[in-house]
Amino acid sequence: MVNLVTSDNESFTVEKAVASRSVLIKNMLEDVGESDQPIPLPNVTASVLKKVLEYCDHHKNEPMPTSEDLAAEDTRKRTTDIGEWDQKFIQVDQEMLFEIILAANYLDIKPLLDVGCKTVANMIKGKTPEEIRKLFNIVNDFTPEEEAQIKKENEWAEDR
Amino acid sequence: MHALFEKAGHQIRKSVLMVGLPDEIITSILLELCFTDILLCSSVCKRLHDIIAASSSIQYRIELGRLGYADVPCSDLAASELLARIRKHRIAWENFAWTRSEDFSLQYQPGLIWLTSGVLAMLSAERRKITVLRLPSTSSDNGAQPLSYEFDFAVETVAMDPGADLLVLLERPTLSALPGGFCRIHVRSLSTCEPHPSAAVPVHRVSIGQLPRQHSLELIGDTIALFSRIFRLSPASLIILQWRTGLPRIRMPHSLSSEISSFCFLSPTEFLLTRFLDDPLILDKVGSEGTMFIDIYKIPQEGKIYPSGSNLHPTHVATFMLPPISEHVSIEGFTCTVDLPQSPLSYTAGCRTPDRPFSIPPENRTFSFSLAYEPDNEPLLLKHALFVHASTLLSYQKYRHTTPAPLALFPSSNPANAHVDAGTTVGNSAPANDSGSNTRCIVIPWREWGPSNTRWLEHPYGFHPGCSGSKFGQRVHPPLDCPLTKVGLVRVLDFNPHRSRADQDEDGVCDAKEDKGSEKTEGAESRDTRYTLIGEGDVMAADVTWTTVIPKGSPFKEDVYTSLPYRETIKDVGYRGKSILIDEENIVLPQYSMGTSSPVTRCLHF
Repeated sequence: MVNLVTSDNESFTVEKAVASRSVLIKNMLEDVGESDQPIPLPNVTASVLKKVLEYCDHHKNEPMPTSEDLAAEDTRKRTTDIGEWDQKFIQVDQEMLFEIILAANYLDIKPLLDVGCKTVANMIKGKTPEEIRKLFNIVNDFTPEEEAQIKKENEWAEDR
Repeated sequence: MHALFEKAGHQIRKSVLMVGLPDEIITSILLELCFTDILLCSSVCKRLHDIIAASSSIQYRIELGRLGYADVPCSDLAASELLARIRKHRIAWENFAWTRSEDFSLQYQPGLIWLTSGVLAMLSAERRKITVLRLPSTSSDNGAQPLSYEFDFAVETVAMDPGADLLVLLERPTLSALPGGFCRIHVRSLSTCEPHPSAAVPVHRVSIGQLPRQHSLELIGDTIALFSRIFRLSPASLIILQWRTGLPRIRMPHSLSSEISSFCFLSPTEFLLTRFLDDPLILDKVGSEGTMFIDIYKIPQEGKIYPSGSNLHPTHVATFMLPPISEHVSIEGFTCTVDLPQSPLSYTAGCRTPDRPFSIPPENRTFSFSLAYEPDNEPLLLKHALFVHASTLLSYQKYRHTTPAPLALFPSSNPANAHVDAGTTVGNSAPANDSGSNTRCIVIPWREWGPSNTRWLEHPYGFHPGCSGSKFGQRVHPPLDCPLTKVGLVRVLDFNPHRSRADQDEDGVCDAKEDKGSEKTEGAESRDTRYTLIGEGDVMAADVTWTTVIPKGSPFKEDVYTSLPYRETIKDVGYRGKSILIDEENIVLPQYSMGTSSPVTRCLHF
């Protein structure tokens, strides 16, 4: 079993197979060897880690992606959709979604990061810039001139 | 709270919003989007704009989208190199500034030469020897030496897919060797000429009725089609099979209506047949409603067990109607040509690098339809060519709401439709076809789809017998020795809808602005003034975005307007041959030599 401690000082005890879905933790465990020392995760809060561990637990029996797989990843990326379980799993509010993406990035859990990125991409698809701003609460920081210039640059791609 | 975006960074722990994600994650998200969505994102805020502008992978994705190319996977090249390469390629085509020109000493026979994705295949005059030459490509700098294969049978026609290392040969049917109307299709490896290692059946013996003389062998992904008939306007045969599994998909020997004039694949599961009503025995051409049709068919789903020897029918799903023909002309021909698309993800065996740098998905191709007709009392054959994007034909479903055309326009009693009705009851025990009973064939009148999605061009673009034009993806080269085409010109019509119009290239290519004046002259076409000289030398280019009209009577019953935009580029290369071939990266100008001098085939590389 592995003991993980979050930034808000909560500790989680999980199977090694679950924790090792994170390449970061896996490497730490390999470096440290057998040890009961808790592993501090200063970039992850308890609520997010709980969610991430739920993902790791569900996928714990799948083979880890090899470096070969990762190289081939680019080709299949857009053709593979999000799995059914993953889709349900990622149905969270926006804040949690971005927290999960950040945690997956920090903990180095590539498949989870992919699920997160695809989910955000699906939210963006087919939306106008104004709708995207509204969706993610983004402020339009272009001057009217800059905006006109960008619109002109992208004119060729507009549907006719 | 909005102040957050000013100092975006992943150290922000609270209220992590999209713009609080690190650049590399935002890049990954953007790479999940299609290029039009990416461009929309670039006008959301400065940060997204800057990430998009700075990322080579994203810019490469945008360039692919702009050219209508598919992503070629797993290249060992860095994104910045891929980006530089594709930009150079695009600009070369836009300006006819080919990056190199190479000459090959090759013996070629008119009509017996094929070019597909960088591979040139030439059949000898006696049809028993094929020479295959892999042209130098941007992805593999050196072209290979030509390979020659000899056969103990005569080859009628050839189709190939270099990405799948596939060479498909139709053995010329002979009465003595193949009694009973059978012929043989050979599935070989392009690099060895051995039976293809992935093919379950190396030689297919298919029934095509009596001894046909006109064949069209088509290939898309895993699917091969053979469309054949004895002579023009005789009943035709259609055989479709899967070369990897060896399973038949469509088997209609000698049973297609004589009204059907040509076959083309739309996608691996859909194809089109062109059809026109022209029966010399019927003087009254169905009242005065004579016209042409583009019929779309679906190949039934896999997984059924077919009784061997039975006919397998496709399902007729849609018909695109063309404008009604004037009663004072008779149609002589209505045919379709399109290039053979490539397998989307394919590698030469054992090689990690794709065999070519760019590929075009089937939906991004342009179809050209050729219409030949004869006005009454004039023994003169006139031609028109119609250009349509494959995506327009593939999106027939969106016309489902269209009010059906009057039945008289779509004669259901004629034999062309007899097999359609049978389509849902194929194979006795087969369950009701999923695309059958509840979905009626969609009939789309010309006015619904034609004027905005197509372009009719007159005479010089028609395809003449004996001189072949060529097309690949969205680019079309009209035949060379057409009456109105000056000898020696290379001339490409590019139907890419995303040509650079407002040109913002840092490479300093700027040509769109000069055309602004002519774009305004809608409805009026002036052949002499529509070219604008760009750049140096003798390259001429024009963006044709205005509506053109074919006036009533020649050959249509009414004025016909079309407006599909295209760009035409012309350069004088002093070529004196009769054939021209193009693919993604090359224009090939084969030189036919009758005398003693050795023929030189010139390859212009983009």
